[in-house]
Amino acid sequence: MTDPYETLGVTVEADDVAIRQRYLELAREFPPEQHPARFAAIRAAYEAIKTLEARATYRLLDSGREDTIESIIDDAMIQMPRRRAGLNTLIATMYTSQK
Amino acid sequence: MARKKAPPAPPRPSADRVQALFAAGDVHGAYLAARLLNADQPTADHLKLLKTLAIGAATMLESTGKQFEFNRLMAEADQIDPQDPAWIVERACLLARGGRLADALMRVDESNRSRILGYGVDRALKSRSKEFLPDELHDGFDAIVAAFKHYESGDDAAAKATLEPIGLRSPFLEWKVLLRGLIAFANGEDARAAENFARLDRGRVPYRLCSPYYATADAGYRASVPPPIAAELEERFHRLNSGGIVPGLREVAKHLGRNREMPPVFRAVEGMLHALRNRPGLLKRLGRCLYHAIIYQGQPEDLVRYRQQFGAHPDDPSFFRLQARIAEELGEEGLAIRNWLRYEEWLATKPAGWPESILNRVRAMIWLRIGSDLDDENRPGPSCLDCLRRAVQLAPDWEPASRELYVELVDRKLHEEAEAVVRALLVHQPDRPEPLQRLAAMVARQNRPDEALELYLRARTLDPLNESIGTRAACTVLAVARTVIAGKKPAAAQTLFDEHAELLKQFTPNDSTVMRAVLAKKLGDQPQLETLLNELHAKPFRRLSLHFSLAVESTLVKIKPADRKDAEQSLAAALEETPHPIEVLLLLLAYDMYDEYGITYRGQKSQIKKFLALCSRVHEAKAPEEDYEVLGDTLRFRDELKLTKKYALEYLRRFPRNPKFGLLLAEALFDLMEPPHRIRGILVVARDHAERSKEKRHSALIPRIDELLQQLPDPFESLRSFFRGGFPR
Repeated sequence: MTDPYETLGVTVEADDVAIRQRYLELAREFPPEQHPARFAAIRAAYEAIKTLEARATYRLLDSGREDTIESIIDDAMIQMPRRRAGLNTLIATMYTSQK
Repeated sequence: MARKKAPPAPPRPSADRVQALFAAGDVHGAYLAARLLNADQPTADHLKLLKTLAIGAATMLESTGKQFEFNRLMAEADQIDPQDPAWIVERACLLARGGRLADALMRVDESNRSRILGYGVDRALKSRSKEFLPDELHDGFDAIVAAFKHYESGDDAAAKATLEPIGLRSPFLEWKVLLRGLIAFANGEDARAAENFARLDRGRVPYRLCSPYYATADAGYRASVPPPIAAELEERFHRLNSGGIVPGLREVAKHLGRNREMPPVFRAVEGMLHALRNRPGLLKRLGRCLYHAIIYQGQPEDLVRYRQQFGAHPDDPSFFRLQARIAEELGEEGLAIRNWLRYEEWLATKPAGWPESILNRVRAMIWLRIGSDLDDENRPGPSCLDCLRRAVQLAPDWEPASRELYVELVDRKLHEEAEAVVRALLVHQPDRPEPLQRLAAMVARQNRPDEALELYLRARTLDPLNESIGTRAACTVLAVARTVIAGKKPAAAQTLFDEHAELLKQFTPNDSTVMRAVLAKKLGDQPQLETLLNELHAKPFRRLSLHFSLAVESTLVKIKPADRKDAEQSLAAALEETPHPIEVLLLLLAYDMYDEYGITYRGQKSQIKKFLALCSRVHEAKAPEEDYEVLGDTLRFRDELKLTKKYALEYLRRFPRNPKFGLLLAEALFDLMEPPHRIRGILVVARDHAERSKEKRHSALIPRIDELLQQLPDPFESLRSFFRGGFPR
């Protein structure tokens, strides 16, 4: 799970009503039968901050816990700038892996 | 002189041996074994196997640059089935891949020429030398080299323009497709890149060069290759795309987990800190990840290193919260409280980025955290009560804080403040049944049944399926009826019974019949009284509890002493008869109900002694074993420890194989702090009996027996600690 506020696209100031409204908008935009993974993330984010108590618990104890090392590695791989390896490097890499 | 031993005979060649060598990765050895096999047993299958392995061995020698061995193997290959046309083409392909393009071209006709040229081009580009190629291909070679340089410098337009002249029939077409795929990949167009890579011939060099990118761009392709190959492709991709971050992060991952230490994590971070500084987003996320890791695997001294690498945490700039949580994990409550108090102090300064509602709730949560479940003794800072009061002050609408404070105040008999706390919560949350129930219980104990009934009925409207609320509401109706009858308003009592008939019938049928009987007695309505008493007497095991309730209620509703004498005499007579264990159990429950609702009457305390004394006579009833077990449980739940011990011992003698009495005895001895070795012995026997018993209720006792056994100190611990010190010399 990523930051629930980011997933739902609401600010930390948002109250129960605003958060629920945004959740329903997103649920309509990404229904579970068409976007199961996206909907699951939206649902999890909503559960994490839907009430004042949940938001306070998240802020006090859980904020940042979603940043597991595995998720950081995945994102690092996706976001890594794509270097353009030349012909020599490509061939050298193929060679060294075969030895 | 010893005779020289003959060398062992070489293993007879077989297809299995060839397979085994190939599976072990020894392609050249497999080829040699296949050659022996074919010479020994020349069959069509063995010839096919030999050709396949010759191709494999030649490809391996070529790709590892062993030109001499390659040429020797190709000379041998020429001797294998030299007239087979398909084999001639295969050998030509191999020669072209090995750099002998002219030789290869001489062996094939026009139809195979472009294929051979393709391999020749691969070899030339792989060796970065166009000398391998005929003159007419030099321009194509130069175009590919130039296109790669443009691509590398980021000039995609120039790269594409350079590739433009390479047509569909060109031997450089595969390289053109490779470059188009690489350009798309570099621009993040993964789908387009995968589309180009998918078109490449899997036997050609461009396909092998693209595969790390292909596996990154296309999850389907990545899943289609065997896991070790996928891992190698991923590793190759990281080498090609190196920035040091992903391997560094993997190193961090290796050292994360409970019971591990943080220093290797910080060392791994140190190695990639420079690269991470260029990726502030990742640095921030890694900081948050390690912040949580420190809670579970860190020590207070790790904070210095954390601060050096990641700086201050925006929500915890002085790391008080982190230190509090580490201390909690280490079980150091005093240190945890000190740090939570410092953190709360910081929050009280209203730091930026905290909405007020969340800030107040978080502060209340901290006060509740440090105020709950802790004794006041030997703890720093304010008392538990003050912490809870502060929590309620900061979040007056927060039920958990209000509930904790209420419980604490009731424990300390501060009833007035406790009531005020619940009433304050109800201002914010008038529709929550829990605080209504809490307030009702409190006012009921203060002998204000009318108020209590109103509150219970409100709670029941909000939660009609809650049986606890239903039972308490029904009991409160009876309490109100009691005051009304005592106040000589029988009509009002009847109205009350009628109004709440459903509730009374569902939750307190027997007690309400008793109350109606008392009302009939008070009114002198003898026929009604007899009807109700007959109804009550018809119920099994109610004999003692019925006489008891009638006697108590007669007192409570202030029936004249002369008129209630018969009820008291009936109770005394009933107590003289042989008691059944279930009758005694129901009598104790009826007695406890008055106690729970705070109802007192004269002689109440001495009465319980008489009732408990009945337990020593229940054996006369010769009831089923199970009924004695239930009464034993009741004694235990009432915390009658000495009586439970006596009762359990007696019935253990009567039913020596019954594990329930063993468990009851052990529980009583445990609470009486008797020597653990004695309790352990009883439990071990009880467990054995529970295992052997055919009764389900007995085998269900095993988890509880095990739980108790675990709570007992290890009997050999003292011996172990003695020997751990070693023997004196």
